[in-house]
Amino acid sequence: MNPSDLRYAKTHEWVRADGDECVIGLTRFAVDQLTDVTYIQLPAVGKKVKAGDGLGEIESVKAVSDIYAPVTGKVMAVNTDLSRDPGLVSRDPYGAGWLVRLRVEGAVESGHLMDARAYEAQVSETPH
Amino acid sequence: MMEHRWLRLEDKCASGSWQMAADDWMLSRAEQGECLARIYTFAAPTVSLGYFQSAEGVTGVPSLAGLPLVRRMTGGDLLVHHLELTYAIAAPVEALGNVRELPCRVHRSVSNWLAQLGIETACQGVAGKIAHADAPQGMLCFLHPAGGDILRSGHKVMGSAQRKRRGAVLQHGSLLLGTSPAAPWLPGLADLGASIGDITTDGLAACLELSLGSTLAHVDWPGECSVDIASLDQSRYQSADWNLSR
Repeated sequence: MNPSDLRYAKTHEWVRADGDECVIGLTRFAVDQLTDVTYIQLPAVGKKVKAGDGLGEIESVKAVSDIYAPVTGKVMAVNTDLSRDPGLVSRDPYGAGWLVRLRVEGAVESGHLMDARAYEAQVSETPH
Repeated sequence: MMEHRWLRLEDKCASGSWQMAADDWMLSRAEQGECLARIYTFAAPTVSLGYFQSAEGVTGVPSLAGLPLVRRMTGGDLLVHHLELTYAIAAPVEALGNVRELPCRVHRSVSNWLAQLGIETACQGVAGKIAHADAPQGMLCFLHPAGGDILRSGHKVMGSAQRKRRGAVLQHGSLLLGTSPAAPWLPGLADLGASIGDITTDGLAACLELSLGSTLAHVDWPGECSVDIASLDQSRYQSADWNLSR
């Protein structure tokens, strides 16, 4: 079940708004598509990212996947715990496995992000 | 699974950097909705590194140090491409069924085909390690079988890896036919008592068809791709910045 207080991108990132900042992570569906996660590369603090651009990369035993920025903003923090324990992203994707904190340019509530119900509808149409 | 039209690009033997550029190009086309497959070989023995793998260590192995080196866009560890067949498939996620299971689907199909040729193999149950005292430690993909990889007599002879980008997936993998002098620690099928005379690119392509549940229609490489692939080859896969930066 995806938390109802989050917004979701088509590319399987979640966004938790927090004032003029937001926290970003990967959805349960996204991490379930990966086998054991071995490495996560995240952007440098201070980097500006545009919605839809690459935000990082995640490697699992069989695959390397791109992670996309769901909103435009400046990276304020990255989850450094993931460098020593990348499996956190699989064990707790909506909590301790968060990826980055962004200062948002514009509003999080933009048209391209979905609520939990719409996201679950998208996932249900995706081959598992 | 919805019916998709799969195309098989003609087989190519080319440099490692060109092959990786071509796979990258295939993924770009898959992002646009195309479903592509191909079988290829390397024009010269070549080392390829996993996307996040450090290039350090290669120079310390005399048999590998002088070989052309290229970094893949997929993960995993170091491969020595020499006496092998490599396949690549690229398609939108919705054309592939269960993407996570796709490597195993291809491997099972190849293992069944090899059995029909009288070559018994097995699919690895869970990830493991193959001990080899003389091999460079910790860097060779074929000494680290993942679940679903193909083994013969305890030696890994086939593995695959994926890159996912903007709703599309590239998967490529290698079937080790013979033992490269550059990597004597990794015996190929011929050195494991198998008769490999009947292993053909068409046979491997037929395995892909079974795994994908679709036929592959033979096509020539589209004319416009040569410029795109040459550009990727030169700007990325031949560049020290890409190949040696990690």
